[in-house]
Amino acid sequence: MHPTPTRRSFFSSLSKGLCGAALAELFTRDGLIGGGNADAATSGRHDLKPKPPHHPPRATSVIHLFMNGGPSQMDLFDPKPALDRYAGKTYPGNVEKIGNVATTQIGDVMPSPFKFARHGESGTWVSDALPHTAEIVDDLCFLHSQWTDHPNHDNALYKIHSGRLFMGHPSLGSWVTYGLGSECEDLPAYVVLDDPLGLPKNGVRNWTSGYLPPVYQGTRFRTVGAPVLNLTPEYEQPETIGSAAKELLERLDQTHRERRPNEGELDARIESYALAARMQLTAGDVLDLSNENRSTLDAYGVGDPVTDSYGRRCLLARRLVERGVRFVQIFLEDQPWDNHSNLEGTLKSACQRTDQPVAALIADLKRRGMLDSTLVVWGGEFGRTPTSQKVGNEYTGRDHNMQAFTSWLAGGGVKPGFAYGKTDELGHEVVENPISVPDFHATLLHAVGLDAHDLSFNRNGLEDRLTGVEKPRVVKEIFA
Amino acid sequence: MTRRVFAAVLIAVVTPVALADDPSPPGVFFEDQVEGLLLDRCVDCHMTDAAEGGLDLSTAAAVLRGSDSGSVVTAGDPEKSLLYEVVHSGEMPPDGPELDEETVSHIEAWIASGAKFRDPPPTAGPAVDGHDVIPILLLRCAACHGAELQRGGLDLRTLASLRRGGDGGPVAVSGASNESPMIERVEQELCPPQGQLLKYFVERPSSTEVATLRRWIDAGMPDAEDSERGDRPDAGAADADADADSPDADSSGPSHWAFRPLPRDVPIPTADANLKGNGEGVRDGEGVRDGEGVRGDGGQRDGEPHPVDAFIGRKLRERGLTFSPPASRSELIRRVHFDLVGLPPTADELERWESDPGDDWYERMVDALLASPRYGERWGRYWLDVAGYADSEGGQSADTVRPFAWKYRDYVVRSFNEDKPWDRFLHEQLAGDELAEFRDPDQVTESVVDNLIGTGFLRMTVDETGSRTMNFVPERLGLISDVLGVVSSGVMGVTMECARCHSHKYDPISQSDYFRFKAIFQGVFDEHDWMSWKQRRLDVASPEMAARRESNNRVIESQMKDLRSHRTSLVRSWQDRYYDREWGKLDESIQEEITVARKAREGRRTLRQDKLVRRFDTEIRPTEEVLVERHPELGEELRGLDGRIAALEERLEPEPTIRAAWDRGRPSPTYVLIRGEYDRPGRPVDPGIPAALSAGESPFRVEPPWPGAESSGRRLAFARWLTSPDHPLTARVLVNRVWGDHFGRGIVKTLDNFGAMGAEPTHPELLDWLARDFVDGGWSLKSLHRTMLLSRTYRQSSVRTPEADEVDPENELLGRMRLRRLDAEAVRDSLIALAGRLDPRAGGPPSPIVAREDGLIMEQPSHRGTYRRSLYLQLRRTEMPTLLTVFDYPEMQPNCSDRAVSTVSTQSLVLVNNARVHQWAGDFADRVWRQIPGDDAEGDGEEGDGEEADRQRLRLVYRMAFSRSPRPDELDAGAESLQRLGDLWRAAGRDAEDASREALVTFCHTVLNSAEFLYVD
Repeated sequence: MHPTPTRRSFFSSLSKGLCGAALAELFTRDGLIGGGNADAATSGRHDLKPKPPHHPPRATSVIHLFMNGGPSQMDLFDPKPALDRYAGKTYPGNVEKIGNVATTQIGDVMPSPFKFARHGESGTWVSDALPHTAEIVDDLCFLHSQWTDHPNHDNALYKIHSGRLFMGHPSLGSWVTYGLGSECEDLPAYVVLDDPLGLPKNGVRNWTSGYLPPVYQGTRFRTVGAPVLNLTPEYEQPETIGSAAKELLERLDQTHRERRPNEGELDARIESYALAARMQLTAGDVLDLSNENRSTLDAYGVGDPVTDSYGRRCLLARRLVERGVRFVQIFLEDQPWDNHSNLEGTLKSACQRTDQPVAALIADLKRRGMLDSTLVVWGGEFGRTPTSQKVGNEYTGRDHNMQAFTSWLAGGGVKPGFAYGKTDELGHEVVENPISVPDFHATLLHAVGLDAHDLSFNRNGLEDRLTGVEKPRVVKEIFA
Repeated sequence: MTRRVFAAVLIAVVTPVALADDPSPPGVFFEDQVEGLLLDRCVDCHMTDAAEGGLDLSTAAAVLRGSDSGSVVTAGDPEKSLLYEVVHSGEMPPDGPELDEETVSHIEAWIASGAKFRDPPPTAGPAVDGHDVIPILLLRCAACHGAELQRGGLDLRTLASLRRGGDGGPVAVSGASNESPMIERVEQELCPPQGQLLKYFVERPSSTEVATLRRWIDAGMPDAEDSERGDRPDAGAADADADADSPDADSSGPSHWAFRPLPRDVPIPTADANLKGNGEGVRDGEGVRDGEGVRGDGGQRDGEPHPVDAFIGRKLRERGLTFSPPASRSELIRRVHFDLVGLPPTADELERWESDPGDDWYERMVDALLASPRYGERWGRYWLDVAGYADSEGGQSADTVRPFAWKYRDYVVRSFNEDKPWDRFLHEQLAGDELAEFRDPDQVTESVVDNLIGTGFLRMTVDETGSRTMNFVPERLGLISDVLGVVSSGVMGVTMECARCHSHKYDPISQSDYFRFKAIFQGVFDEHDWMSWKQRRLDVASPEMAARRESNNRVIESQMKDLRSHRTSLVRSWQDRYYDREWGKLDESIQEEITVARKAREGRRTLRQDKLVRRFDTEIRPTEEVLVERHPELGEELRGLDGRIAALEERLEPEPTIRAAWDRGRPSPTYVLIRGEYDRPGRPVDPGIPAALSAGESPFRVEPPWPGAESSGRRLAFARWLTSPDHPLTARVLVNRVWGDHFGRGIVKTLDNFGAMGAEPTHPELLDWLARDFVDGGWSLKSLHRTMLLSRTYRQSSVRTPEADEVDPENELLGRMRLRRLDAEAVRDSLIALAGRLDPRAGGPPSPIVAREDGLIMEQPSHRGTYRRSLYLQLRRTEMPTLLTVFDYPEMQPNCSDRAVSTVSTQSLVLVNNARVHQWAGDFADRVWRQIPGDDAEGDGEEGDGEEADRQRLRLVYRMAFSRSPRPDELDAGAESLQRLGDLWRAAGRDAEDASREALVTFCHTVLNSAEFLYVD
């Protein structure tokens, strides 16, 4: 095992290969990294240098707790007593609008197997599937009126991550790092903590930089074993050699780059080396959870087999944001919230994996005074239907529902203990204050100081945006 | 839960014991006292409109249906009946007075006596026929009464065999489910037997299913409406209902371009002055010889531009653009080497092609590389991505290693090297078992074996069905779905996955299409007649192969045995020498103590015992490790022996086991599964192809592959249909993949999706022309490569210009080549090649990998200190070599059609810091040093000599790593760097010669980290 250097140990022992070079890098921020967005447009250069926001930001970092599969709003946050009233009956509205399959396959209205109660001073409704989240509702701001354009996972996932129904478009995290750069010189600006059990549906495309330069794509950190491998040199080499090698590499790459104008890819490459050098200094420290005390680890559920994996990732997310990482995204494998059958069991299991760590994260951020500057986003790609599907007596899950779903936000200047938007009496359609995906994105961008319209990228001679052509609505009502 | 209500109630009805022993007292019928009570006291809450807990007690039928949490009445057993329990305990009713004891006792009596009704509520639904019953029998019964086993002489796969009954007579009495033994056994839970559920991966039938069985029997056991098995014509047209929501259902011919048959003739745009010899393409005679007749040119005309250029050029002109100038000769040499063999040209190769005076040097270089066995290793790898190749079964827990998957990998490499016609290649992979009889040993030849190995294509997906808990029908269906996904997206460029659950939203693929497609594979992958991966293997070899293996291995094994025993005795002789000398020197008491200590188990020893054992193992009778450390000469001898043993092992012929897919000649009927759910069968379907694709001239026709064949011939029919000359997809999809791999992006960007959701082709006519030329030229991949590589389009420079970027920033029109990063395999293989440590061995079992504690995964070097090409490493899904994964080696879930290319700092970290990469850099430097040894260090002290040596070394480093000579300014700067690095190493205490060498290592290591090494122009 190779001990990772802390800043202090680094200064006391300068025998760590690239570290020496990293020092030079820190002190001489030369032409390697330069130029903001305006320059980038003309020079073809893109970097992670901090860029001024469009307006004063509410939050400087984002933690996106992505709940892939489509969590059921009426079983978690949006109680619908009418479900009980209509239980076992045909959906009273237009059946054609239900779900994503032929209407013959729609079942009857299905009550929630979970019990709802009011929590906190805000008296927010949360079901008993999320007992830990129930304890932090006074810090959360619920968006009950989200809707999206597609009832299939692949497309809805592309939509919620990149604003479009199809692959190849930059993700929200890429846009945010493109717009703001990074305030952390020694870690990637956009970190993805995916599930060691496997990739989510759509895989690595969920955090692609699309047509934006690759320097803005999400960097996956490993979540088993060492989060970052080969963080320090595994061979002996005097520090002086390391710096000389670093200079040599810069020269080789610059020469190569100069003869290949407009290749953003090569800038990203160069930047990735510079970042790698800086990561050696601090990343080891950041990623080492053994620096946390027992009570913190316990709070996040680290050590408990059910919550350990998600808890570690939540804790890691806090530590990354603490160091200035701009955008952290946590994914679950496949789609645990896709509760087509046995909703009671499968939804519960998804809750159990995440509930305690999520609540601990919010509480921890708050305790450390970080919640003001961090926007936490919890949600999936769509919601679920009030109906089940009738097959004998067996059908026990809910279908996809693109017409209504609930997400929540915390921190980042949103109103705590607040709920926005309404769905109909069965939770199937939005009836008040609808929030489209572009509205949602514009609102999140607004929180970090970016204007959805001004945040654009010239592509094929056209200005392309996360939120598309039509002007989205920033949901200003949710900001304190 | 709820299913039990029916089951239990019905058991009571048919159990004679309950009735005979306990003649019903009056009032035990529901209607007599229970119904009134429920209406009186319960329905306020438990009524249809507002049924608390989902329980409706207002009608007899509703009582039987139970609540959300299951049944409330278990006939014959009040203690297990929620209804009794809640009234007995006083929990219910919650309001008003508790029920009096007498009332409670009525309920108890009613349940105890079998919960009977004077007027039993109808359990009826719509009329049933045989198709309602067959899927249930297959799902719940066929494991013991099916193809593999016929317990009690009973086969329940067909209605005919059901009617025949078993050894004990009929199992169903038409019109009388109450008298039918099979119903009785099911309801009494004798069948499926409790103890065997997990053994045979069966679950009990649900109450709904049992009710269906009953209704079918009561209805007189009607036949299945259609014939059970597939002699209906292709069912495409027969499924109007399911196809109604598909865009192309109106059958006026496919509207989507990719579903229209491949045209017979694709006109090449006529040349014009812009393209014909304006000199742009033939600058300084660097082999850009448009118009020379080369095979694979698709009938290129003298003086006319290459057809590819004609198509590309026309579009460029339309947008006011032109081709870029040609790439330099050294750029082309590097580009084509990486492209065709995945390795940089060696210094000699570079020299050879750079100095080749022939006009046709480029064509000859392309041909030489296409003829290299390294070609198959490069291009076979692309196909392995499509197949989803892995050396392990995958899954959530065990991820067991697949011992024989590598034979398929080698088969793919071999097929590419042989330029096996693509249609033949597909036939073997999809239906190799139906091409020739393999069941008769006398007919087995090497090609028959190859056919079977080819079917490994269908066996590459994650397979968890060897596990104790993951072999139920849903898991099997998951595997089948993956296989169908690989075949449909990989070969046909059509996404069928969605149609498993519902008819496709955008593409004309209906749910019936999906299940017809599934039926094609039913003979191999039959969820009701399953083989786990443990059983799904064949030992097939021709008699000659078997004899060859036998004689070869006998000799080698005996040599290995000799060497091993020699090794053992060698070590022992050294140990004995120590022991004989040292043991006697010890006091007897110590001797005794040591003997006792050594017998004690490790961890149970006292501190003193531990010390004694350690002393024994180091001084008295040293272990091998200790001996080797103390006596290097022994170490050397042992390493020599180990090397010889390993070398022999490599020559062992592997077992004849094949991971194959083969038809077992008894496919179950295939039913549409509503929403893809395993226990929701819909209509039966016959094998068939998607209706929207049936417009071509070659119909899909299933015939036995040869008279009397055991195989159904379904997959062979499918493979033949796929490779018909006007098939809309097969050739288009393949040439597009090859184009994508050569040019960095497909003509259709979405390589695996030619459907409505896929991208439009940027050059549709070119795609059609290439596909047509490919098919008409005999499906030769090597010809296809040449067509593409000999074009001017391919030979352009990759340098961007602001003018072209303005019009075409993403280079869709191909006015230049694309700068591309090496993929994972090319990065690693190049590192090893430069280090001079590339193991030339092709094929065979994969090289083992080792996982370090922190999760870093690297391969073990061979006994020769060499490393094999990346495709020969063990590619276990959960333990992928780190160097490959950081450079975007994909997760195979189930396969990968198009790799992502990322640029992240973890890549830099591994190249900069990894010890193995650093060691390879050292080897690289050593090779250079060996060619240009020494310098002035010990000589006359003149600076100039050393610098000249440095310059020569630099030149070699550049030529090996970057495939070009350094420019003068680079030489100057490089020499300066080497001098400076040398000074620094000297300052760090190295002597002069050593410092120079170390400086070169540092330089080489830096070069391996540079962008120029990682990118190809």
